[in-house]
Amino acid sequence: MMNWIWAGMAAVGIIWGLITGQQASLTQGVLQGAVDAVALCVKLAGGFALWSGLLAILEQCGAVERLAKAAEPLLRRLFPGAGLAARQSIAMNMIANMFGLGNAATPQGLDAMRRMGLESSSDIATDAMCMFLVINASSIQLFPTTVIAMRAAAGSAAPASIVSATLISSGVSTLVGIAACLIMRNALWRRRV
Amino acid sequence: MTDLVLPLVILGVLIFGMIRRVSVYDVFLEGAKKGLQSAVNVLPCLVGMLAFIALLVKSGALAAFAGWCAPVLRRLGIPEGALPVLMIRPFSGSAALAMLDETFRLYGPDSVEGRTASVIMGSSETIFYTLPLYFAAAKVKRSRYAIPAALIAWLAGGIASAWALRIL
Repeated sequence: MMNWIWAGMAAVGIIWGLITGQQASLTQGVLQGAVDAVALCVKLAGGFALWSGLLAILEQCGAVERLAKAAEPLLRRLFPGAGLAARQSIAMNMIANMFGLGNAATPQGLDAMRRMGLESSSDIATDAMCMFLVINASSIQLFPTTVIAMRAAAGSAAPASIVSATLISSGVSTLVGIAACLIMRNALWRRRV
Repeated sequence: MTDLVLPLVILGVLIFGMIRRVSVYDVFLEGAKKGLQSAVNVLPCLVGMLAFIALLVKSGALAAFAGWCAPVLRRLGIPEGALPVLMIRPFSGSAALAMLDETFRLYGPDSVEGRTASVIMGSSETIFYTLPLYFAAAKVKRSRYAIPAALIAWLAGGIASAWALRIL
């Protein structure tokens, strides 16, 4: 599926751009996108390193383990088949996400995926991976700081008035995502091993 | 409030670590190394995705697609002015933020459009960036139902955004 999506994005963009006569901005855009990716990576690397370092200290303290243990009943049910180490990374990723600490969440999330990948040792996504990614993609942030700051900057009379609606909508999208995973897992994409 | 979180977390972690007699500096360096490695590991995937997403955005294909979807999404209760943010959200976080600013400029941040777009921004993530990145980390090639399920969640979030504002 990734092959198709990736190639499809390029094909649609290029063909549409050529039809509408945007060759110049295509050329400029694709190069700029590549440059932006490296710049973004450099920007992310600092935050990743800082957070991974701090979390490593917490891990040494045994705090991560205890936290994951507290969330164990939920984690086990949502991510069947994920090992203990992967479940710990998942727990840390979700907590960081809730507090809007994206820079702390991403390395933990990548770690969780890497561990799940090692466990399954195949190139087909497991049910636990799909569930983890869909929950991640549906956003579980409690306090949308960036949006509030932007609303304030745009001269809103009540910048934070969208907080409760955001909670509801991200809650709905997360629940729908979980339901979609459960339905599709059983009905359409049963894993053949 | 959020400016307090980071310093306090750092302080708390360090105090906790010292109490537990962890050699905090050495462990930090070890962890930081792993963080840098994961940043480097995602770079190829990042370049591939961002370069091609730029093609979709710059060619105007995404905007055209948003235009085609407008009648259906309007039926579902999402105001037309909030559609650009909704449509670009799965592809690019920074482009969606730029679009949100544009929505504020056109309609005002306290209009129905501006408020709906704000909520949409927080109800979903950058699907076509997060998923490939994470699957690359797990060395997974066949993603099965992950992307369709994420897109269903995204659409549900968009509709819920419009309705949550209407009810509250």
